[in-house]
Amino acid sequence: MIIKYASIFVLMQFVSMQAFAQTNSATPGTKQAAAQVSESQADAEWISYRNAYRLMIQFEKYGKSKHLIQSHFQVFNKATTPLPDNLQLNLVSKSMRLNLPLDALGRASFPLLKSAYDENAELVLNQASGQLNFQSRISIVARADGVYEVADLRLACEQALTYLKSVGDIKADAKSCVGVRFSYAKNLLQSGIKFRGADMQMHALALQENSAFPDDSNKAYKTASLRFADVTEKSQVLVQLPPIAIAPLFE
Amino acid sequence: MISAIGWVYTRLQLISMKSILFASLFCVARLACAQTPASSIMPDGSSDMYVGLGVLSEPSCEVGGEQTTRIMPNVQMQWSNGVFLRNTNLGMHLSPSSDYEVGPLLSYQRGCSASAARKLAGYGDVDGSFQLGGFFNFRPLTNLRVGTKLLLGTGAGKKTTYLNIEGRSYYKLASHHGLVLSSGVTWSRRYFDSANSRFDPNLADGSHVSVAGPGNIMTGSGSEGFTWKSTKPVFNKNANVRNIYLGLNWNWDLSSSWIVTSHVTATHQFDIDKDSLWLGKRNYVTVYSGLAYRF
Repeated sequence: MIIKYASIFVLMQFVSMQAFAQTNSATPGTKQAAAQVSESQADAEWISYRNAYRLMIQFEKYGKSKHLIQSHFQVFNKATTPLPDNLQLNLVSKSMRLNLPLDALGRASFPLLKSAYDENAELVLNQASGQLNFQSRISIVARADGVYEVADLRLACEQALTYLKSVGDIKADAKSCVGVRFSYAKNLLQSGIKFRGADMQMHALALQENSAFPDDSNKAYKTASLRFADVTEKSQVLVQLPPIAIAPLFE
Repeated sequence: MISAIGWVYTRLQLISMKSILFASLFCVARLACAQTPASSIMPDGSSDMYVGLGVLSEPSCEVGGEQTTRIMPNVQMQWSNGVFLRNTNLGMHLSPSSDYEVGPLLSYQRGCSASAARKLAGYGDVDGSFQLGGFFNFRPLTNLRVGTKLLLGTGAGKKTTYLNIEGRSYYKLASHHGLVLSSGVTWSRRYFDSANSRFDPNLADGSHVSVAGPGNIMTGSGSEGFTWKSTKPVFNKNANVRNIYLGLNWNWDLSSSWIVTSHVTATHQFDIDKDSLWLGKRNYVTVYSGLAYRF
């Protein structure tokens, strides 16, 4: 009895695998895309757009204040090595192939598209690597004038923490805001990042090699951290070059 | 290949019409293969559906009966307006927040074929029944979701209740492999539904002897009639379920469209008293494995 049904099940899976292989090779619209697929589709890293949508829509639907923070879709490396060069993220479905540009940290703006959802699209990386994974990433919005009030930075950090707690992020569990971290590319010599205290005295903030976000393992960035405990509310951070990211720090 | 499909098709046809109908309404709430999304997490006017087929092995009745293996469809649907269908649970998310989920729920409780339980021999099937109630899910810890269900209905002219509390945690094993560990308790009060029986339980009380409906004509064999007369409590059987279970659900995403879902649940049944309709099977295992298409 069991053997009979098990064999039906195995057959069923075999049939589906065949169908699955056929739909995959028929998916891309262009010849070039088809060539890429035949090279790497087998083990190229992908994620269901619907699953990613479910992750990313939370920030859109979030009702509390969030004007100082932003949400990105991030490709990250589980190992400590940096992301591979020429890494590309594409949104692929029956009727579309959309490139989502990645920044230095592997972050992309996530498009909320009904058509991609309805077509059950996939987000596909152009490189096969078992080490790459996806997540949502919250950071503090950079200011065009480069002038940050410490009170605003503290508020931004609180917004990030409140949001992460609301979505049940383990990183925010039982933590509080202690500071922010500005990060730059490793080859930067001088960030020109300064701190102006309540006494209007300017101090340079020391740069150190670290990860852009505290939970990242890739420490290949020049970072300047500011701890709220060390400064007064009325001080400012003055930034000449726009940072790659501004991360909230929780402890 | 075609002959193989034909063979599968023939095997499927062998399943009786009744069991197909039954299966399409069948409720295995704990088999929920796909994550159940909250109402507002898809674009307006969109839907997320899984339809699959798999092999299920479980006792032929919810408690007791022989372990049987059969083909079982698996249907999970979710619409952007909050309505969802999970096998035979039809419900609606009313909560605006993702912190908790709340809403009404209509559920089909499966019955039991008379041939599956010795105690039912000769008395007819226990019918499945619809129950109406609600669900409330919340997240007390980061990786713990607690789901509660309370359902009320009527079976055999008596009120039936069903209460289930379950905790679930999700673990990502590797990319495309996810594991859900669940554990819960079920408390359900139901009664033997005599609607299909050749004997009217009311007759046993002696109160409605004069009312001889078509269902009351004693055409049963002599020995059954005798049993009925001599042991009155046989008609006061309950179909209660009080159990605790531990489940393991493994999902493997083959692509954004295909998913292999497998499930093992071990159940321990409490207090099967002498009035209980079911065979006294205290521990049993339910296994499901199947393939689903997401569209």
